[in-house]
Amino acid sequence: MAYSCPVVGTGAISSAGKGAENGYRNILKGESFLSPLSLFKWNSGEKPLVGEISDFDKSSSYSRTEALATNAVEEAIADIDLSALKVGIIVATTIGGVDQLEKEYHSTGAESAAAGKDRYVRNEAGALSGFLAKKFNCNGFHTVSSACSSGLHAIGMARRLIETKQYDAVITVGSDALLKLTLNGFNSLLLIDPKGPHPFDADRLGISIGEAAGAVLLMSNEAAEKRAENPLCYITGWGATADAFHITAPHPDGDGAKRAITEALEDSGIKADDIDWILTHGTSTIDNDRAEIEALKSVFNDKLPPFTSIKGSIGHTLSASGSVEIVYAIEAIKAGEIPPTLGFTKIDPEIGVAPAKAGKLKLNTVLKTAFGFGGNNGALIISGEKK
Amino acid sequence: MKLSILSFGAVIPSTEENWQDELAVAIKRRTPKIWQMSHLAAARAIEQSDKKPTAVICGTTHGALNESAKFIDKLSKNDLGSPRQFLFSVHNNMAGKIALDFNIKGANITLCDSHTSLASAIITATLLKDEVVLLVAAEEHLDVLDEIYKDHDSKKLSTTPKEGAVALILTKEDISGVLKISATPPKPTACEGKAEYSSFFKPVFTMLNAIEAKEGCLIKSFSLSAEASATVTIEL
Repeated sequence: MAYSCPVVGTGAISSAGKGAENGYRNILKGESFLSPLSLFKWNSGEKPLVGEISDFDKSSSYSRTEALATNAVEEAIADIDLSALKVGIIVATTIGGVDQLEKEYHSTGAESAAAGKDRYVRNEAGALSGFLAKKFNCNGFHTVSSACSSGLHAIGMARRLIETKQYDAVITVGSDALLKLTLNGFNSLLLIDPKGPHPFDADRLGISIGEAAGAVLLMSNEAAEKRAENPLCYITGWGATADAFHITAPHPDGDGAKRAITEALEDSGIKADDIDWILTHGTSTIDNDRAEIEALKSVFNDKLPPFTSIKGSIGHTLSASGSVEIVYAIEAIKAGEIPPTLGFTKIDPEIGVAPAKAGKLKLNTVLKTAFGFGGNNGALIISGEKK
Repeated sequence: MKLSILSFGAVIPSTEENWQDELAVAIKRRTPKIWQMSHLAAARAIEQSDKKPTAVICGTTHGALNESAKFIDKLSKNDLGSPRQFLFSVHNNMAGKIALDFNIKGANITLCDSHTSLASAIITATLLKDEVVLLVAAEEHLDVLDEIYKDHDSKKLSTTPKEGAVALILTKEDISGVLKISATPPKPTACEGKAEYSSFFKPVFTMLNAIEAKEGCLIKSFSLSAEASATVTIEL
């Protein structure tokens, strides 16, 4: 029987705003939260559009990624009694504290000496988790760095850790800040669209990078019942696969993505017909969107559920994308309303289908997908009720 | 949960001068050293195992940090970074390349928990639906860290191998007569150990010695950077 793991708290911060509900309500308005880069100097012509967060509390954190994660976790655990529970934390991050390495390369010798060893220590992705674990009194931690599918893997792992009774509760948080390394890196791969993303659109050219953090607090059914915590939803299925096809390009038939989705459905004990809505990875790159739709068509045949991408609103937030978008998907279930796919106007003949229009939709069971470099695929099923 | 160790492979450049001779030219010429070491360790482990893994779990503290450093160095000089360096700098692309090289299509997850990554990787392997998992631990020598750690732990800097890769084929099946491996999750603690240069590779190197000696052992790993500790147990 499938294990339904309660979600009892969520937190999010993205360019759409601070707070899970606030950010989602802003996304529902259909506005873009992308703007020309201002966080650091840009040497490659016109400033790209990015999902930059201007106003958030950085006071108790060393790196920008840590500060974003802290904001999201504080919201997720607010007012929830975690005392006497064995609590773990799983952090999903691509870049960790690489901003410290960037600072080192732009420092004078004196500045570098003053920063000392800490700058290198905080560069490690695992250091982020260790410090967050201490900050939030957790008993153990793990750091997943599996590119853009990290956030979904972190939640899938947390569910299994609770199912196997290794923890009573697990905080998962995906966090990636905007960095020179990632923005210039994607630019070097010619994957940035200067006009912003147009997911699934015939004229899409690439992504916009954003920054975000999303936190999800999972708890065992026993602990949630004992504390009278009313679950927001349940995590009911997880799929994790590899394409084994190409180091950056997805399998053109969406083979790995299809297997991840099928695995998540099987793990959840439900049929494809039970999915009410899909919050896609939908990056707006030519290859990703085409491969993702191929995968969805092969799983759902001619009964493709409504699907959406929110990367046109907040950009691609890398390792944080799975986490923050799951939080927004939970908000969608609560609101009974799905957002627009900002940037989409014209059907791509190679894709042949259009994303769903924004509006009211009764949601019970939602599929979230995420795919990353290295041919790494993740799929997660969330449900408004226990399976 | 204890996992049975079906086979293992290792590459320690300081003890094996011609290790790159076994690599295909394309891998030797076009990929960073950490990818080369992990590829060869995986190949050796897979060759020794009668069961093919369906999932890859990789652990590394820094990944190909040398490539990240080169990329960022170029940016700091107002130059454009190379796409190849960016690709190499992404931690989990090493795991993706292993999946590609050995056609392993199940879960593919990379853990980065400093010295305690081995414990994290073992625990992650127990959470998968895949029954047979290839676990790869790899770390490469980083010039930039030599400078940082030389004042902190100079004795170990000269005596501990600085880089290498170990691969294990693990199964959930309880097989009698073979070594089993298990771990406790990394815990944030007041650090009891000292920072050591070789980060993840140090506990993995200790484990390798235990497996080669066919002896059980308890490895305690401490990470100053994450102020964490974890234990890995190897027993019959």
